[in-house]
Amino acid sequence: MVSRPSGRKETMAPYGVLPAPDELSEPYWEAARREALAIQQCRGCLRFHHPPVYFCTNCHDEAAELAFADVSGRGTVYSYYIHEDSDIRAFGEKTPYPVVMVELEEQAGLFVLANLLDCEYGEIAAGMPVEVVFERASEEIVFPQFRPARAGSAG
Amino acid sequence: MAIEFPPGKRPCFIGVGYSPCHRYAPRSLGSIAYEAVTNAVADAGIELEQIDGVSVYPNPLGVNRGIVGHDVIPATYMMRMLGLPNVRWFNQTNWSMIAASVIEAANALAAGACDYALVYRALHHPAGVRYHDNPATTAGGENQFTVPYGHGGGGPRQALHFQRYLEKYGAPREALADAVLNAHGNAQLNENAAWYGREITRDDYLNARIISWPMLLFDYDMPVDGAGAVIMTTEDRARGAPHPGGYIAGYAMTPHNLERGGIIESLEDLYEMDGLHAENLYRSAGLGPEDVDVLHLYDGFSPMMWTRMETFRFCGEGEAPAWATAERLALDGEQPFNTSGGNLGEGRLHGMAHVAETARQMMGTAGSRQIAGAEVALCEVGPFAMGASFICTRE
Repeated sequence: MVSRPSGRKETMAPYGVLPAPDELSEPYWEAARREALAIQQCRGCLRFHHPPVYFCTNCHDEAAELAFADVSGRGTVYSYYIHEDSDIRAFGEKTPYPVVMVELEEQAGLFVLANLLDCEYGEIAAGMPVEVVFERASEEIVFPQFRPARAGSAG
Repeated sequence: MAIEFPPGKRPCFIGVGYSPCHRYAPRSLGSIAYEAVTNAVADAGIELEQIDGVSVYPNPLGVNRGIVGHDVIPATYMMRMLGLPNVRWFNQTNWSMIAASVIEAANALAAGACDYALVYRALHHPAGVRYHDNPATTAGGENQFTVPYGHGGGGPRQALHFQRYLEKYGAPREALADAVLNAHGNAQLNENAAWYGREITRDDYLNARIISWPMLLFDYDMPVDGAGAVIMTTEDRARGAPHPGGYIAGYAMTPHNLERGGIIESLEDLYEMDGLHAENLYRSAGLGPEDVDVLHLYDGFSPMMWTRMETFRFCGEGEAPAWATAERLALDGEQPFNTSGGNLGEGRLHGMAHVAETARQMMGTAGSRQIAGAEVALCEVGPFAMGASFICTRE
């Protein structure tokens, strides 16, 4: 019977797929360049949206400003998988690698996707506390990533 | 609310036709679809010219090039290929796969928009390419937040839900073997199935290579070249048909009111939405899970069988791993399930197996797979929040 792949990623660099920022997402990537995790938030109802939206689907106030706000970068692993046979060509050499769905502490159900760094695959579990780290992929692009939260992390 | 049709206008099935599923077939998809449709017309005992409605879920796969007649068979191509002179209504569904095409056809038939509706699905898998082989080096739109992390198609999305399920309910992934082997076993009685004559064992399932842990190779359906078709009409016209059955009692689709998670919906949101879907289905039909003799649930990825068994209330939340045993799901078991093999056993025709076998079981034409005395069938098709379902009856 096969079991969970073992391994650990210290980095996902070099990155084979880069984002194409657009008018909606540019502030997200701009924040990442200064090593901050910023999520779009409706200034009317304070609801966070990720991916960003053109119109607040929560309060529907067209006058409400949608602006990016820095968040703590702390959250918990909601779920994850270990990709052994990637369907994305640029990741063929990186397998096995972990993909985690992180629920940010700012709002229930506010999820971001990332790779979990600095963690043995066998130790990944739903509910584990994680914190954001940043990896430079190019001149323009810095990726938010996550690692297990460290005791005494600034908070 | 109950769905009611005018007297004599209950939509039903009168014919099923197939072109056998193969991993790769050295034929054009047009000829494959033609074979399935003409077989369905012959089974229904009608002439091609009598078809006056067409409903299809034509969407090609990501690896297809979208070439009409080669890897996609839209209604427009089908009508031209068959030279159908009498079509008054047609529909191309782009959501919830082939069950939604059945629902649209049922509505059109009941309204009198057509008298004989052809519903079909045809899929081509090109040789020499990987099923999902994303060559991207950049990602835009919502993909810019997922693909650069190596997260691609539907399988990985299912893996996230599955791992959540396993940890939430303390379930062993190996317990899925019973439902997967049920599909492959039933496919041995379905000569149209891609896996016909090649039954896999429990060891094969448990020792298969890992795709996205906790999912292994046989947790995924296999893309194929193939096509299936059904002919539908109304109760009044079906009286002269050789073997009518599967009178539509009700239908519903998954509402999208809770997709708050954004990047990927949570298992909990899916649960709640699919629970609403199920309740609306049962209310529309005036029937409940206890009435269902034959159960067909979508199995493009194996874990969704478990979640739908629960959301459609065949067992309680978190109970599917214990409930979905080989004995219970077998053709002679308490709850015959995916009796022609589903997607997992027949091949990836996006729920055509579920629709066609629902029709056959209610028409009494399922042959060696026929469930004796079956009066009510439930058919649900579509992954994640893309579900559409209907309940139909023998009489």
